[in-house]
Amino acid sequence: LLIRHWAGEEAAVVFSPRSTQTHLVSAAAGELLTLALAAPVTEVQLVDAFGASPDTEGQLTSLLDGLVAAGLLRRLP
Amino acid sequence: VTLLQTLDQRQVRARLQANTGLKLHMGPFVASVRSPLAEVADAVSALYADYPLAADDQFTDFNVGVKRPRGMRSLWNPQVVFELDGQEPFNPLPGDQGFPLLEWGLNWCVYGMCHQYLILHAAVLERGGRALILPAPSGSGKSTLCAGLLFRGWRLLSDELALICPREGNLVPNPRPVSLKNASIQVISDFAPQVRFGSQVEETSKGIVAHFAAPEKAVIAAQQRAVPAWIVMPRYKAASPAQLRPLDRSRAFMQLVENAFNYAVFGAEGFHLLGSLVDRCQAFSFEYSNLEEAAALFGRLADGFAPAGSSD
Repeated sequence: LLIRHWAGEEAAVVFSPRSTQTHLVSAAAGELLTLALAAPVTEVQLVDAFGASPDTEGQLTSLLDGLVAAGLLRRLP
Repeated sequence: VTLLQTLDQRQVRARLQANTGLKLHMGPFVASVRSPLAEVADAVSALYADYPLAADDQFTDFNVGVKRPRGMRSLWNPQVVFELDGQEPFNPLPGDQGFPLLEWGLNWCVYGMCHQYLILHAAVLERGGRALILPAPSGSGKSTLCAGLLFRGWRLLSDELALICPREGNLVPNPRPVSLKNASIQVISDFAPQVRFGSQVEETSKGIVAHFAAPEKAVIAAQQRAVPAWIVMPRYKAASPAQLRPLDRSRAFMQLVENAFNYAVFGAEGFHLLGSLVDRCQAFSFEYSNLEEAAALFGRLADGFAPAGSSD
């Protein structure tokens, strides 16, 4: 994946070489993808990285679901 | 350099009917055009008068032609067909649409085959060496705005296709006759009374279409590339004051992707290229209803005094 996020903007752009599609994602999703690109991460690690609270956990889960559905992220068993 | 205008009408027609065709430099391309049709010859003579003729042995990028299709039908319902390298890629059109068909066909050749450039559906103008890119789909007011600005000190690079050089990221001029549709024809006639349109063609798939020649200075400067400076998404909106609103770079990026013809051909390189283009530009959305007001605002933008978010 290729990711561009311009400082101060609410959205980022992501290019998937496999599908050749370009996606507009939230800045948070861009950060999350950048993190996942560096090395495989667990959901627990992501929650830690983004700040743990019941609210963020729920948001993070739906963010992850969206990225998985868009084919930008893969859940490993 | 010999210009087309040095040939008289008879010579133009003869070249258009010859096997080698009439070979013209059109920006970075050489096109060989063939047509036996008098109306096409007249339009080419008038609208490509300032273009340099290419030598017979010059490499030709596009061998194109417009002619009557074969068959009895032409006796009671004349049609025209576009030809590329002897193939007819499109269905015939009504017989009076020869010149618009040639122009549409040439555009198709550029965006369909010239993948040495990243190509956007956008008008491009230049002032002070800096390029204004106006990406937008048909019906947005892009061509009207482009036509208006080129009568207010901007140089035309293209009214339809932005060619981006992947090596340096600059805009490559491809000035060709400017195509206007429907109400825009009268708007520009009023805005720039000196404009000389070719024949109006009615009942095309886009409505009434008319072309005027690219300004001579744009054709002469067709080798001078421009540095990207502004990306502006224009939209005509009745009764709207001319308003430039800053646009997030990520949104501008996606608009460029949506208006790109061959982004997918470039793969990851296209992503980097558009990212770098966005990096080098200010991006705005733009609404307007009055062309004079719009031209004044873009003049201030070029001079570095454009207000953010207002026409004041």
